[in-house]
Amino acid sequence: MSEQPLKHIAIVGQGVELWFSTVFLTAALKPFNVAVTCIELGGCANVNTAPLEALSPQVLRLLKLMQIGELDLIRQCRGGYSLGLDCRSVHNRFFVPHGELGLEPNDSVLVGAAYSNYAKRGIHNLDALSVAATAAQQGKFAVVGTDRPDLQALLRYGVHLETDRLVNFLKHQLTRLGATHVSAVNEPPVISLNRGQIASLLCSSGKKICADFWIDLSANGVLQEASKNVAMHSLLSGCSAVQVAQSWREAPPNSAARQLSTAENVLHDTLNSARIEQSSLYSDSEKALADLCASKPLARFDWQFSKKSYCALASIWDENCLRLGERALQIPGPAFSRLSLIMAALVQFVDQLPDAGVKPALIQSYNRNMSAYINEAFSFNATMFTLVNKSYRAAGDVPSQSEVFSRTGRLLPAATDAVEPQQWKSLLYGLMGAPALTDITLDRIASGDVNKALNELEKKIHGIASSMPNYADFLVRLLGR
Amino acid sequence: MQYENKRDVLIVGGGTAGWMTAAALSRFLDPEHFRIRLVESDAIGTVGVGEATIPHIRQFNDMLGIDENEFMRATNATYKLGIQFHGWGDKDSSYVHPFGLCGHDINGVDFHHYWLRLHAEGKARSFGDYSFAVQAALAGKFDYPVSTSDGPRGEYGYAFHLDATLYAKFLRDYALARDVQRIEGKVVDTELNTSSGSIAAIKLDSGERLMAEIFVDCSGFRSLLLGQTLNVSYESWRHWLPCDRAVAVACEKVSAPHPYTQAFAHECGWRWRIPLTTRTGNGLVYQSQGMSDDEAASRLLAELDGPALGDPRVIRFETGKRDQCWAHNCIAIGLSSGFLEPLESTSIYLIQVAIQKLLEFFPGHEGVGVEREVYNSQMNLEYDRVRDFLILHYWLNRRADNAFWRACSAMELPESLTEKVNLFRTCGHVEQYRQGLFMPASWLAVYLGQGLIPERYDSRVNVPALADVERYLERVHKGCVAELRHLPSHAEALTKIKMGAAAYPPSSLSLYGTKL
Repeated sequence: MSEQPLKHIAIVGQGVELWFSTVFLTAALKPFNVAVTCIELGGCANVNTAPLEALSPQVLRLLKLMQIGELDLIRQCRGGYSLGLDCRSVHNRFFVPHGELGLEPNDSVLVGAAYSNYAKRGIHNLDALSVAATAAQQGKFAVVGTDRPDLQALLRYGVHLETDRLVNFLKHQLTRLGATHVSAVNEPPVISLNRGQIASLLCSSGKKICADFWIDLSANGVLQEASKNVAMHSLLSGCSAVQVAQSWREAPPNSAARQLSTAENVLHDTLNSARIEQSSLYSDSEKALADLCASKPLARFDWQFSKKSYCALASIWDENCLRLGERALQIPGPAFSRLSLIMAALVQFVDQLPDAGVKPALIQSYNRNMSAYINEAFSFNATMFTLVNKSYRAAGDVPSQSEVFSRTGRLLPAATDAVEPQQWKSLLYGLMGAPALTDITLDRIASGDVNKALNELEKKIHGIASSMPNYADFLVRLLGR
Repeated sequence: MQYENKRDVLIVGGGTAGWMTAAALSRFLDPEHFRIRLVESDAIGTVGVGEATIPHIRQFNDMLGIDENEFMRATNATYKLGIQFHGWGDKDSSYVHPFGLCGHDINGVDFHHYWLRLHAEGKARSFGDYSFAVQAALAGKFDYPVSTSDGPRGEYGYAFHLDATLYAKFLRDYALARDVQRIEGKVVDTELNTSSGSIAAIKLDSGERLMAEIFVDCSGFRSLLLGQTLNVSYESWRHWLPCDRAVAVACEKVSAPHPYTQAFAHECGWRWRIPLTTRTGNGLVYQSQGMSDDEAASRLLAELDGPALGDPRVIRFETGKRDQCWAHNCIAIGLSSGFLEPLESTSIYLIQVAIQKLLEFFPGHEGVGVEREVYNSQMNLEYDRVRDFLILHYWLNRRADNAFWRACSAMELPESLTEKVNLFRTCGHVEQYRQGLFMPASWLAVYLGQGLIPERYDSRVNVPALADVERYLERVHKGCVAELRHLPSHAEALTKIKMGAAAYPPSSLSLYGTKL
């Protein structure tokens, strides 16, 4: 009844994405006797050389499965924490938290009530309803223990790690887990096919690697047959690529948050580890970006310029290969790193692990689900660019979350877990303010009662945040251990 | 404040849909800003759909602040843990679709893959033997789920069998006590606003003309406003769901009520049995092409387990849905928006979800915007999800004994269902989605209950020794059996309701309890 199981997966690529993916797959599939080989391509071209790598809360959740101690990882990679995105535009400042708004699920009604209440009071963000936002703005932070499940959902966080240290850490994990590593393949490898499927890869060293299944993380898609017609998602209307400038300096963090600001219609994204501050500037205009980087005070930094395309293959899974390289999957911007997209793709792959034989129904289902994930991720990312007055829009995103929220204060239901509802609510309220329609179910509640309930909630949230340790002290203690 | 300054909502029709809508609107809309009226005629009977429900109804009652014990007493309700299907796979087969989960995943691999391995070895019990809800239902036992339990007691939900007419009456009293105005009368004409095409007013047989800003069409199959006045077309699903008649009659209660609904397949459709505290509801659903009304009525009467309490009543229907549930200033709720046979007890659910979405996307005072588009798209999805699940029951039959069932199993499925079935058939995976009704636990109950064993299961379950898998599954089964011993009988649980002493748990918007 069950056919030949998958015995061997090979992953081809470079950099932190390759190492993270290999450790994850090796750990997840070890109980099932699936071997994983990591094939590291040589050369540095197209490898993410940014000094910091951001791990989202979703990616952090995988550490347990990977048998990696979170605190150990953060210490060794001199990491910093992020409770969310601290966004500043010319007109407004608002926080997009990873954690829930309010203190308990029932508070979602109050969050809805806050839209018009806050707008009337001239408050253009939901920060006071978020423990994460309040803590980050107070310079506070805490890792919540398992004894406080009520706070865990409110204080979800991502981390920013030093990339070179993270790579070394992951290589060490790989040795521990016993995965095979083949390195220094300098020339494009030669691929052998068998009935349309990738059968083996011949390295420049002459070493031949055979596997049942392949994962291509390479920038140029080395496992992609040149003759193959690759259909891409039509991701957005109005823009297909973004110009990026990146720089870094040594600086301690100000708060446990990623900063997002605007300057001259350029989106400025700043993330911090314990000792490094990394800046990325995004714009659709090469000139605007160059001018900004040449102006004070940014001119003193060494900016690396690149052009990043929005890419998503219509079929990430094709035959016996997942194609996850830069030309297959990329949503440049502050919301989704390549690593977080790759991990989402791999988690779903492991969930529905195929046998050695290819099942079209499984591939179809996988590609459909990944399309939904990518669309939601892209939609959120595109909405963020509204901060710099760019109206990118996901193709087929009709009506968009922005349209629905600005009219009704509601969200379209999510098909995937790419974006949490509180992230949408905080972002959209911060960008657009109160929706046109008020929540009809709140009609019978007196505004005085709403005020009172909101005040009480804000006070409790403020109290929780105030009782947390100072973030800088927390980091010093953590790294000093 | 004067009436002229209020927004007028007029509900046309006073059956289950009408009074559920009136009750919910009266609970949330401020009478300072809204006037809610409902037109109904005592001369027009109601279909009285949905005597069997699914667990979501608890959340609706909760939303209205209704005490569950009081509601159960008022509607002669019994508890329900699932639906038992007889003769839907093989002629003699039987399975329960429970409101609960079945086992747990191990190392990220779903429980049913382990079951499939044991099944292939001939060592598995029936799939339902690993479900607490199924075991409790078949043992005639009931108690509330315990959300804090990590064991089987935390993995199920429950619903009710109720008298829909009494439920409508119960909600009518609720709504009338909250300023809803009931108007007796038959609608004889409607008036359109010539410039906008929206409904301006309705005219009653008394000659009274009623204007409103928002019309809610709860007029049942007639779809007086959405269908007849606004001409929103009806998409027929008859080619997938071939039954077009039902004959219904109540009979005397002759035994303790089961905590589950029963659906018996017959040569040309199926028969329901719904136990209340005072009587048993019965109905026979059939295809008129293959069975006459008289034949159906005789058949139904012959199969009652107690004396009939009236004459059988024939209901004609065509499964399908209006292209839009909301057009112009008219929102259709209940049968006026679409009809799906009550095989999975979804009629009241579809009313409930329509009301909740109406409250979420309530039309703006100054005109309608994107809310109508979102409402229609979400209601379409809800209908499509239920439709596909119902079609599965027919298509997956393994009865070669007559033409009706052979035609059902040969039908071409909707694309959305074909993909789900192919995925399960080829590799044992169940398509997951976040929106709409029926999660993998339900799909598995029907797939496996009706005998669709996939060609392959997840080969990861071959890694542990067979004896270990056997031990694990046996532990799951025995865990259910052990918990069952402490459960009171369904009759004992109902007695607590009579005495007003039942402390029911919080509701959730899930078919399977609070864990999912």
